[in-house]
Amino acid sequence: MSQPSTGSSETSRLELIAQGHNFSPVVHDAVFREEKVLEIKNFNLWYGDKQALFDISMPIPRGQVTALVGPSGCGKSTLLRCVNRMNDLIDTVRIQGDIFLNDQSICDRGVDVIELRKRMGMVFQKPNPFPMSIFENVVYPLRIDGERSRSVLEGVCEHSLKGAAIWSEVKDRLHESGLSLSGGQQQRLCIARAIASEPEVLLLDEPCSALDPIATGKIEDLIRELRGEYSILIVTHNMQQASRISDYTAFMYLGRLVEYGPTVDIFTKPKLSETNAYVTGRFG
Amino acid sequence: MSQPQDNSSSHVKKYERKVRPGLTVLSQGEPMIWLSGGALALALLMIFGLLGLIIYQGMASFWPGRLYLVTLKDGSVMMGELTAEEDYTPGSAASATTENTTSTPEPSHRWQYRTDNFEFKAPQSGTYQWVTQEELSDTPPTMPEWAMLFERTKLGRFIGTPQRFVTSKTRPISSDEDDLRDIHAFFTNNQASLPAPDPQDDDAQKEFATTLESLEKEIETVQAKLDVLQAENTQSFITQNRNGTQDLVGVTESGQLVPLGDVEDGENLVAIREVIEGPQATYDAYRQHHQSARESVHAIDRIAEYEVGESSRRQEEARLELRSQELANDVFVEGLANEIYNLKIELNAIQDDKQKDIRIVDRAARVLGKDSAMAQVGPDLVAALNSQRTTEESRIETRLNEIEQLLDQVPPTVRQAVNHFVDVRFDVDNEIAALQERIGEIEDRNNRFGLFAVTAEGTEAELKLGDIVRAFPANQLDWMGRLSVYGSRWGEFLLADPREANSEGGVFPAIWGTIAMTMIMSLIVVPFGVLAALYLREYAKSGPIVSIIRISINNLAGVPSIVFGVFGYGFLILVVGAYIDGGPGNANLPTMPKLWWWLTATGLAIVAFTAFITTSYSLGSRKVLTRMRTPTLGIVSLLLWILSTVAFIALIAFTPDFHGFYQANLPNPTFGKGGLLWASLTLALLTLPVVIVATEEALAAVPNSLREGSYGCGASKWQTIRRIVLPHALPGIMTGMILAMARGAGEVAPLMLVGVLKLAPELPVDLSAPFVHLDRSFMHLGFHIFDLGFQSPNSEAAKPMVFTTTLLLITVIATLNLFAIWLRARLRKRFQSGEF
Repeated sequence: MSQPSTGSSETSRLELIAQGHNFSPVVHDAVFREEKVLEIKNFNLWYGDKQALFDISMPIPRGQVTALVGPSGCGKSTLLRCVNRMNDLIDTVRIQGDIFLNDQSICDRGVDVIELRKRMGMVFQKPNPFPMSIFENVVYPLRIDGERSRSVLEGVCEHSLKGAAIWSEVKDRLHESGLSLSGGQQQRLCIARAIASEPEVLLLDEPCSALDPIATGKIEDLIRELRGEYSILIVTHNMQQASRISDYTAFMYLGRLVEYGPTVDIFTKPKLSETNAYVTGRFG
Repeated sequence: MSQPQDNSSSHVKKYERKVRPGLTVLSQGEPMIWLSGGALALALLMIFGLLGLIIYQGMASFWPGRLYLVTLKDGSVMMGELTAEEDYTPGSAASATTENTTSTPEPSHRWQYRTDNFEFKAPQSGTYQWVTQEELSDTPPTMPEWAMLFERTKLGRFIGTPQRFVTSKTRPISSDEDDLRDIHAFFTNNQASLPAPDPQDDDAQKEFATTLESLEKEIETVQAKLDVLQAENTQSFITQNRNGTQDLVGVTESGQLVPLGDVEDGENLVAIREVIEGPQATYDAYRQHHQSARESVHAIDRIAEYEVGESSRRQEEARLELRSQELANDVFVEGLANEIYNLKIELNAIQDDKQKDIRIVDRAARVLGKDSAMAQVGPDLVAALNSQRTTEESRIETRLNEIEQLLDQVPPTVRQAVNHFVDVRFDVDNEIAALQERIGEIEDRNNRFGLFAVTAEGTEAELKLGDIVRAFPANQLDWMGRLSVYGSRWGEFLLADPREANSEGGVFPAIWGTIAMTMIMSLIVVPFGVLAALYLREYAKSGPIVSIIRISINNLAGVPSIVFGVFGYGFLILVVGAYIDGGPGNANLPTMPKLWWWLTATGLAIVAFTAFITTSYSLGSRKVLTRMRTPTLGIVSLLLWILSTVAFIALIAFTPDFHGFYQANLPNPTFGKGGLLWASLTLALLTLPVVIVATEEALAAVPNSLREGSYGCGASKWQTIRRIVLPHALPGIMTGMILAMARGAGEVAPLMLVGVLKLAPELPVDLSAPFVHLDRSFMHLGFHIFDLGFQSPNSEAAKPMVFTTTLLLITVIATLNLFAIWLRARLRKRFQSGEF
């Protein structure tokens, strides 16, 4: 392991990135020792003419929590949305490179996007329960698959709500509107919806940024519980949150991966002084 | 107060903040509050002023007023309801009718009375009459106790004092009386037709003369017998009906009235009358008999409307059946069928006459004995009369045989149709005769009653009880009585058919027509507009084409409504309607040769298949959800679709083998004229932009986070739209529907071109199959207002109805809207969001 660089070169490295110079990220060896569920390979992305992601390559370990951190506009959310191809909804997006889920390409022309999305649950920044009952919210992924059996739906609903640690709070009001819940409950409801179809990967896009500290705490507990069962990729602004809940952390800056390694290493002995500066709050 | 800017360079001029000079009224009073608030207040004032005027005038028009008897200086009198009074200056244009013209006009006062009594006035004078201060005599206007207002189904209102109430009873004619009268008439009329004997044969001549003589005598005998019988019957009739208390009058054969006490022995009365004198008694008798008289009039109306209508419909059906057989076999036999019918009618009449004469002679022999002259010459007379008839009969039979031979040449189905048609015509004739007899009986019963009243001027008029809708002594009513008249007038207005060229009666068909049209319009426009908006907002890729389409739709909302009416008339009725009736030929469309048609059809099949494949490939669910675009393929598929649409329309429009669904009715159009369907379609087109714009806005207001959430769960585009977007946008879509309904229900101009009529009591939606008659014309409240106020021959009398109908139109539209708003509120409840 190399020593952290000096203070004088840290500014110049980020400045070089800002000026558009190529930069090769520092990826810790520990990352490669894990079994990977996703692998991002030389991934570039443009919004129209503007490039938003630059040559990103990183494996995502199976059954672990991987956090994407970085200042606003660094492309963490964009990268996350590429994993289940949500960016396809934007007309101007153009990509290069590929992402593999269990060694199968997901950017290939022949990939069934709907099938792909069913294998990944996604939770958004703002809780977005559908304007229907709590029950219908949770079983929505099954409904669109055409599942009609009441017992199956009820079983999945209970299982998912328990998985999302909200069952005890809503079990008596399953037929009330999902919108009648509080913000934190709504977000856990969205997580329940995301895990209802038993996905392989859970994509969380700043799931706590719109919540108060108590609700945030509950969601964090939940993420820790879900770890192992699901491979979780989480985007967060909050350094403490990343250090608390994630096993691996990737630091991104202006569309480039800067440093990626086990969370403990990133927060205590990063290889780059820029990472150190960012995670300790001296920059960004 | 000014703060110096610290880092401005020397060449940039410093900004110095201006200090406001103290507190002013403007700065305290915030002028924009006054301006914007004032504008709102003015707008509200105008709206409430308009509504207030309509509600006041509309509610007031049915309130029964008092009746005044006004005496003028020239001695003439008039009676009427006071409707207006005003100050005016004589000599001004408004008082051109006043004779009182002084050199220096002084302000004066005048009153307007609604005097009615249309049939007793000079043709030019209207329903209303102005009376000026100068014309008024010293006697002030009075309110006579027995001034009554009669509302009649014919000739409008009548204002007068009831005089007497007459109930007549016709004396029943016994069959003996009938026989004697028939015998008398037969021999008197046909004496001359008796075959004269050979002029050379003197004996025969002599015998003939004596026979004639005795015949004359016997005719007199019959007359005498008749007189005796009639007198007997009259006497027993009088005894039956006299019970002392009533004032009875007899009616002689010549129509003269004789007090019953003065009837001499041997006099013949056809009827007797019970006469009740005096206003109170007349009014009481009126109230006693009016209800049943009105009910029997309604019964007549029902018979005329439903049963006679049903019979005519059967006849028309048989005719259409015959016509379709003619068209199918390319023959023309309707003329022959009608001739058969007419000949058979003639034949029956002749045979009836024969039978009748034989029966009369038979009766004569029985009344006067076998040896009488009548019994002896009777058969000869009948034979003489019948010889003429027999030649007539044989002529008709020959002609019938000729026709039969002609008909032997046509196919048997046509033959059957002809026979059926003739049979049905006879059936229908019998049915209608029976119905007419029933109507006649009811009318006879109703005609027994007569109410006589005098106008203020002194003219006496007989009012038929069945013709009176309601009558009341206006000056005796307390407010409860007036309220019940008011309620009864509203009831009639809402539930009855119009009468008197729409200026009286109800507007039920117009209410019904308005509601039916608005409903059908909504059913057409809402799905159509929602689908169009869905494509524009959810599927279409935004670009110049979509922008142009959107702008065009918005502009469509600004096109004057009459333009849509012209489109509805010129295209929907004259082309589409005519096509439905009679195929391309009837719509003046060219037809393709058969070979070309089949070639085009084959081409269409190929092109449409290719278009389908390309579209599926370029717009499939996977593609829609992803970034993969195939613009060239998209353009190709669009072009292919345009081509196949054009080919499809051409195939339909120019087909050589289609001759319409209602060919048999031609030249009477079924759909090729204004009707409910075309009116609804025209208005649907008119309101389409409203629905599209509102729906697009509702769709745009659905948060994108919900769509993303749904896609994130692996939903397809349509699943997302159906389960997430549409339910969320539903209240907004309903708002669009409400706006469209409000716009459509209030339109008049286009409707005048596409199916609204002044009078169409046949409802477009009723209980006879198929329940919704899309081809029928209908009435509409908006057009009714225009027609009442400005088109009716008696538009002056109809003016109050204008406001009432306007009030009703507003109420109907408000009710429709309230219904839609209630529906929307119910839907919205489902999507009520919680705290977040």
